[in-house]
Amino acid sequence: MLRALGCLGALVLTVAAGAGGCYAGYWLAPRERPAQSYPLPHHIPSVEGGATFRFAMAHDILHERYPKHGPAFYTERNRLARERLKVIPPDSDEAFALTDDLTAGLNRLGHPADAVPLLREKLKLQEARGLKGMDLYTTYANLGTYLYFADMGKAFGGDAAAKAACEEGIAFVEKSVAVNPHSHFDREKWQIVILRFLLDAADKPDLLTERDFLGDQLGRQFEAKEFELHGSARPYPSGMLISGAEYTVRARKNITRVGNELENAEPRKLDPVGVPFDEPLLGIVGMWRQGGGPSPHFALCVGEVMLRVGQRRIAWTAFERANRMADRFWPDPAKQQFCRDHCARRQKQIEETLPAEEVAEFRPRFEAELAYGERYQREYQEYEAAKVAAGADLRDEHLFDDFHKGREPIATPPGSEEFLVTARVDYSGPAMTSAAGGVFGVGLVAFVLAVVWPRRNAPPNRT
Amino acid sequence: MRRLFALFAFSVVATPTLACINDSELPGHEREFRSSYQADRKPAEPSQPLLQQYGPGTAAAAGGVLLLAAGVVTVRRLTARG
Repeated sequence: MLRALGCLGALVLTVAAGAGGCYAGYWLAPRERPAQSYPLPHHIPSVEGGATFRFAMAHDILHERYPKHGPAFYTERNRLARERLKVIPPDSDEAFALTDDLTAGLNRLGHPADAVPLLREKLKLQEARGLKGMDLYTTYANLGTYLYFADMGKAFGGDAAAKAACEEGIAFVEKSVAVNPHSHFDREKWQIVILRFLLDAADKPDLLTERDFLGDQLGRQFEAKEFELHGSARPYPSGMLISGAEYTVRARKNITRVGNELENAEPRKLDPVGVPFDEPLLGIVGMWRQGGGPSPHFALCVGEVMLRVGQRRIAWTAFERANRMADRFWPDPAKQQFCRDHCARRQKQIEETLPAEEVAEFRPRFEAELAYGERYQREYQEYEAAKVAAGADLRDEHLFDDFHKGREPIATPPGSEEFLVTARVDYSGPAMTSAAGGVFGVGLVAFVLAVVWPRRNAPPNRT
Repeated sequence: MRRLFALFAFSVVATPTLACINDSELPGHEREFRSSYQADRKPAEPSQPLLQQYGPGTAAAAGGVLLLAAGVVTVRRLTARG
């Protein structure tokens, strides 16, 4: 009887220890899964093998943080190209490549009209050789570009022939996209958008005060709470990225879309009509860096897009840069003033959502960084001018080695702004810890009882 | 006249920027551009305390070992008496 009671007591004690262990485990369990970071969806290229956007790229073009050749380089390269072209067959591949170099140089030196007849001749020779498709890509793209540039000024003044020449230019760029759809970060695709926008604005200048070249509505208001939703440096509303699994499967579908807002009174409902923000931005970065440098239209567009993806600090910088280039926004002084006023208005909206002490640092920091980037470009061009004067070979891949020696890379390294950091409630944590506590409690009491029990109930010594 | 001058000035300073130019330098520029922004610095993730990380597993394992030991001890005692 006593032994049965003892067994029952041991059983009760073991069960109680298990329950106690479960209880302790439940309360000791962490309620949040440790933070995990995922690269943001725009890290997935829109086409396989394509380049992907980083916010640092926008930061760097706005501050001129990239190397850029100067007039000495292009003047010398043109001289060398002309000399070589005199002695090689005009319909050779080498001559075609040199013509691209020569015409690019002419454009960089401010003579796009001089480039047009050279490229028309190149196209004629290529077609005579039976070349087609991709082989004509650079000719189409460059010829279209220079045709547009050569006549754009007159076209804005209402000259019908000049407008027709610009249209012909756009048609050539469209041909280049048709034969090489994803070249150079899709730059030609976005080049067509901006060129057509400006040509349309020549007929209807009010377009310039309604939208940027992507169609982002300039009059759209942003409430401070919208930025709170996005977070200080998170470019996507958190609801779009519920879990890592969803992120992986639906990556590019989660990218904020921009543009085409004026087609509908409710821009947010129009999202599917716009484009993922990283696509036009990559185009802008490419045109800014490899096209010919800063433009108020690009800076304005970068600002509007950055606002829409919650990157207020880059947006502020973009509006500052656009404001400082307003005299190149449009020939009409009233439109230039609109550009200045709009940028100042946007900056004020942004400043109201950020701490005053941080805002006070914005302009001095912008000026210091822009001066740094411009100094880098100036020194880069002085270095190459000295090399040209000394008779250096421009095709030497080590031409700039001495310049880069001892210098920090000019590109800003991407940072934490490129990641989504999660800290989610973890419901499986308490259950697991509770079960573990229960097993430990049962095991501990069972072991103690097993060790102690026989000793208390040991048979009497018979000796 | 003023308008014409403004148009001319605008076309000189503004237009060549809105382009993408294809020349022999472009492929090298693009390679350099890509490599400049390739290395993403992942934010440091706060590490989980060791107790939280390994505590439940260790407790469950220890409980299992103790249960096994209790069983072994009990069986040995019973067989020794039998």
